[in-house]
Amino acid sequence: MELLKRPLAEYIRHLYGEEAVLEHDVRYPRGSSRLTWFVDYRERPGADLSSIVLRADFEGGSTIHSSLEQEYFMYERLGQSAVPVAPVLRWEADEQWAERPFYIRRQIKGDWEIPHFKDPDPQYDAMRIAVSKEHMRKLALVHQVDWKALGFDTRLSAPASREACAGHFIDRLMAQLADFQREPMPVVVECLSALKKGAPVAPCISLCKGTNGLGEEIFLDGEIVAMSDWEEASIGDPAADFASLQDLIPEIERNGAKLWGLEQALTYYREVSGIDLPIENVHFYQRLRTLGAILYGHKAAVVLHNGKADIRQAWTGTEVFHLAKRMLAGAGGLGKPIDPAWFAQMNETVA
Amino acid sequence: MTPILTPTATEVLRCVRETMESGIIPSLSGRTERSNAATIQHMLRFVEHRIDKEGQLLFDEIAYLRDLFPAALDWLGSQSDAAGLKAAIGRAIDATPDPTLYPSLARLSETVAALRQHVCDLLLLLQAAPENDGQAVDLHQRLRDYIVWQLEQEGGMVEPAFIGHGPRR
Repeated sequence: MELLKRPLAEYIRHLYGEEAVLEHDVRYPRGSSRLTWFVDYRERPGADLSSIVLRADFEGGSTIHSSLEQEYFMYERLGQSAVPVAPVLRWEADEQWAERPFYIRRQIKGDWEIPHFKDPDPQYDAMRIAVSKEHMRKLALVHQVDWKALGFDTRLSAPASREACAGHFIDRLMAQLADFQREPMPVVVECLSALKKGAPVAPCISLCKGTNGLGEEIFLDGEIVAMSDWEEASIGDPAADFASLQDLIPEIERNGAKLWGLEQALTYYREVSGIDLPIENVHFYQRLRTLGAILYGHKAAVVLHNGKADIRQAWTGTEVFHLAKRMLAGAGGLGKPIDPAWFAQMNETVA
Repeated sequence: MTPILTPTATEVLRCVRETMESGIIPSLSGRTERSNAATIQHMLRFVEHRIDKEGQLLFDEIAYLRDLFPAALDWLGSQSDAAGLKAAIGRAIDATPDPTLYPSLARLSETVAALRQHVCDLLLLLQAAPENDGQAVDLHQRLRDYIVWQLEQEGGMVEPAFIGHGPRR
């Protein structure tokens, strides 16, 4: 394994004792921001199978701006809240073993894939709505976390007021971009002023997960048993999470009647969270999302420039970066609309 | 038939990609390996497109901005706090390539990056200009048109390399 200086089987014995046996290890194929490895082992031959996850930056650096240490911190603190997350087990920076720092968390039984979730056949409507409601309940838990009490603001910067959330969000992204930007981007300069228009007041200041939804959460028997991928976590308007939500609010209409969609999901979310989130706030952060895509697209390109990049970063730094610029242009009133089929293709994974 | 030195870099890359597709990928059994191979295929196709198109794209962008910048100089002439930018854009318009140096992609790319920085600096000034400054409004619109044009040019190089060619990962 590329994360280790010595064989993984030896490392497993180092962690779990001389009788421990490595059974299987595989790299998660979809990861494009960080490396994820799934490892199965037994503490001794014949013992129950245990499963752990190893997370590390790519050798050339991360595609996203926040550090691996911050991601570890998120899991560690969320473990003290009602949000379902995998327990973190170890931060590994021992140079005798680790090529570069990584951390270990327990692998939670379940699956990120939900059979037929994207199938528009009406027979799956009830299942799709139930899954969406489950996601609303879990997002509500995230947004109700007492982030001050748990000290999240010691690592994530917090806006001073509900009125300051939007400006704080934009300033944070622009400061991150300035940290690594290598090329001038007229589209960013021009569209930023358009993005700032109509900045809403947040209904509350919440812990926000960042990327969430399909592909990020672990489901078991219709329930989310672990929420993953906290690398874009922030503190601010919970609307930002609805703007980063992947697929789990399907738009379903039958015989002219709207069964489910963003409005219905927000109504349900209000019931379970007590947070009255205006849809206009979501639309505002959906436009800002394009700026976030510029950040990770360009960061991947910079890693590629510096060397030791992962092949996935080559893709993120080219097609994804270009798409991000077109999306941002669209949000700023420039250029043609983007064919939704393009997004769908980019989400496909090899069989 | 137009004589040409063969094979071109694009032709070699295409051969590498096609050999990988027919002679290597079918034997890959692990999902991670197949996923990496899919991304590699896309990246090889992207480089094929880029080799074919990038030089002309950069060349055209330099010409586009050199054509646009005189209007920017006109407007900057009436601005009291833009002497540095005006001088830099003036130098960019007057610059002539060194005839003893090959105009490599890297050189063209450096030139385009410098010109784009001037566009960024101009945009910031124009965004702060009074609404009744008609010259500023016109110039601002020309720069917005340039952004759309540039992204379309870039799209002509990037999008056909990926869209319709299967899963990226």
